[in-house]
Amino acid sequence: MNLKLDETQLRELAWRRPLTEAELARLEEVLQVNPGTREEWLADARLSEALRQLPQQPGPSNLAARVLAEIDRDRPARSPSQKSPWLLARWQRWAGGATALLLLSGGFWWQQHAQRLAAQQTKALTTFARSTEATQLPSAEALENFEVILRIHPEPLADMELLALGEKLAAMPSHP
Amino acid sequence: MPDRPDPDAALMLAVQRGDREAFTQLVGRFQQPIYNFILRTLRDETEAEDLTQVTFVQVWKSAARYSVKARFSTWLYTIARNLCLNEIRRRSRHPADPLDATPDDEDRPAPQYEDRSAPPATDELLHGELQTKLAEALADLPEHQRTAILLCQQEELSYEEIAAVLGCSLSATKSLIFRGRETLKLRLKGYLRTGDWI
Repeated sequence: MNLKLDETQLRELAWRRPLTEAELARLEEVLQVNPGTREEWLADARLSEALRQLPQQPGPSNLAARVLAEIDRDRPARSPSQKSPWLLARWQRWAGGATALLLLSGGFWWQQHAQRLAAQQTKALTTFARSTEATQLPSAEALENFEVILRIHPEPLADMELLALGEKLAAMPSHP
Repeated sequence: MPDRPDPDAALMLAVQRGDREAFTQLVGRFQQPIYNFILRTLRDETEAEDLTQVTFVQVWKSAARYSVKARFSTWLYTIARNLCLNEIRRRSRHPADPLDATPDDEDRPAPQYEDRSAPPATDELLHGELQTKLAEALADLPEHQRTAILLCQQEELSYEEIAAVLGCSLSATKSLIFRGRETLKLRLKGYLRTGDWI
């Protein structure tokens, strides 16, 4: 049998309660093998006994009634604080509703704005497309000498007199 | 779940349903050990009374949180210990003059000298002195060691349950008890006379 284990177990038992006859007999066997620890064991046993005999005060009188009175006293005192969670809940409901409403109206406004923007962009693109289709650009060859052509003396003015004469001649009855 | 049946757990389940009679029974059963535990921790009768009351008020208020996984006494001592620790912390933050402060010289009683002609002190007197010295030595122990030793005297608590109250391992709990007892034995050496087994 493991004496060390026995000694430890007996010690832990002795810390809690007086050892039984059988346990004391076992302890005697342990102490015969290891007699040097007898004094220590006796001091331990005396300490355990002294701890067990420490006077126990009776405790507060009528404690249960006092505790229940305290609990009852605490109850009405706590009613306002019990109201506050309710108020908080109501406030939270209001805040939640307002936030939801704000989010919905914001979303609606954003949707409208986005639609307007898209329509404007479409319109601008259409106009641009139309304008690019309407006027055909001159050929690349013509544009190559654009600057030179621009600097050439402007074309001669029309001979207005000759034109007037031509109109007159046209207006005259034709000769046979 | 506790391996031993716990009749207090059934009472506590009734308390959870608002049964004041069950609560009164629990208070009646535990008020003395809880009061003495707090008194030995704080060494102040008024504060011990107040904290005992607060402990049971806390039990009522926290009844919904009680789970039968633990013995009722383990839960109760945990509440009492936490309240004691709060009080110890409060005291350390706001230290006040101790009630048992050393009196002024003029108030100090004349020194007592041993009357060698008188008969030797009886065992009863020695026993009374041992109790006083033991209470003082206990009070001077570190809180963990003192609590471990005090809970060790409560037969209904197993070592595992003491460990649960202290919030440490089983081996650490036994080590706390061993070290605390060694300190007590050293301080009370003259009183722990050797002799027959008690």
